[in-house]
Amino acid sequence: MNDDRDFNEIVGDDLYSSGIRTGILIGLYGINKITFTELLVSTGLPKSSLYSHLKFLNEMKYVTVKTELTLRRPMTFIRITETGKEKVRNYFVIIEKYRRNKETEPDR
Amino acid sequence: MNLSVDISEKIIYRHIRKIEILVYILFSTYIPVNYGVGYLLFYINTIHKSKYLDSILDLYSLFIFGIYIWIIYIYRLKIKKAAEPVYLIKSNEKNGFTYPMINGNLVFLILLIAVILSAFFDMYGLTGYELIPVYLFFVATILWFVLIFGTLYRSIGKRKLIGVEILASIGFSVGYLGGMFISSFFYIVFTVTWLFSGIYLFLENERDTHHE
Repeated sequence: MNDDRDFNEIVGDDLYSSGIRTGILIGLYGINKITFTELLVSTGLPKSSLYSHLKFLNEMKYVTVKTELTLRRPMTFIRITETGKEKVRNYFVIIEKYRRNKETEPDR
Repeated sequence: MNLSVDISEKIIYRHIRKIEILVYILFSTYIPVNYGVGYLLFYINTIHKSKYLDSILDLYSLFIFGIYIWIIYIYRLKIKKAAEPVYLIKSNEKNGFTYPMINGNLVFLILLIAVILSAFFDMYGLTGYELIPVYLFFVATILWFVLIFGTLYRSIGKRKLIGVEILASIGFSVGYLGGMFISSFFYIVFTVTWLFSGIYLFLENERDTHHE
């Protein structure tokens, strides 16, 4: 029953249903912040596509997007929020549960 | 799940590569620059050699190495933290991410004890024990290398070592072992190869960033 709820959470969640958004959030979980250009270069996504994924993540308050002045030039920084971190931790828990269930499941 | 892992790996891999650049440049320049400054301060400007000069130099070395060890520790934590999510996802997979099995805090402690012992023996002029901290320092540094670069190189399981990383590894092995057991001049090999690797990766990173 619990597994069904976890599965429904992954399928029904707009974040988890997109591999790119989940990937960006997991990446940010490890490094906390990144510039837009760095994210663009590292993911290799088209600019418009990355914009739309970031817009979604920003609206859901999983990340903050802010343009800041730096010594070289103004840069757009993307930072993961506490809500975003919680979402990634939740994802790890579900994946771990799924893995354990798979291991204990008898062979059919 | 594969797409999300792939995207997160790419983000983390690039971040780790930036830390790697800092490690190469800093490690290759920090000790030579500080010893250069120490030489200028304590030898060239000292007309009458003070009897306390050796003790002052030991304290200076202790201070320099203290900061050096602390920087290494911070870098290791940064790399470990950055790679943690990939580790959590891929920990059960074959050929996935694995941490080296050396306890970082223990090595850190050995390194610190070696440096303090060395300064202590020098300051109090105790003879016959000088080699103990040298060997401790040697073992701890080798372990640190395995630890830092084990974490760095194996941080993302599927990526292969690139040319400059192999050059840096050879530079460390030849330079450090040669410097320790043959002649201090071998340390130059370590400095030059690491500086080259750092600058090469930095330029490559800048080129990729501005290319977009």
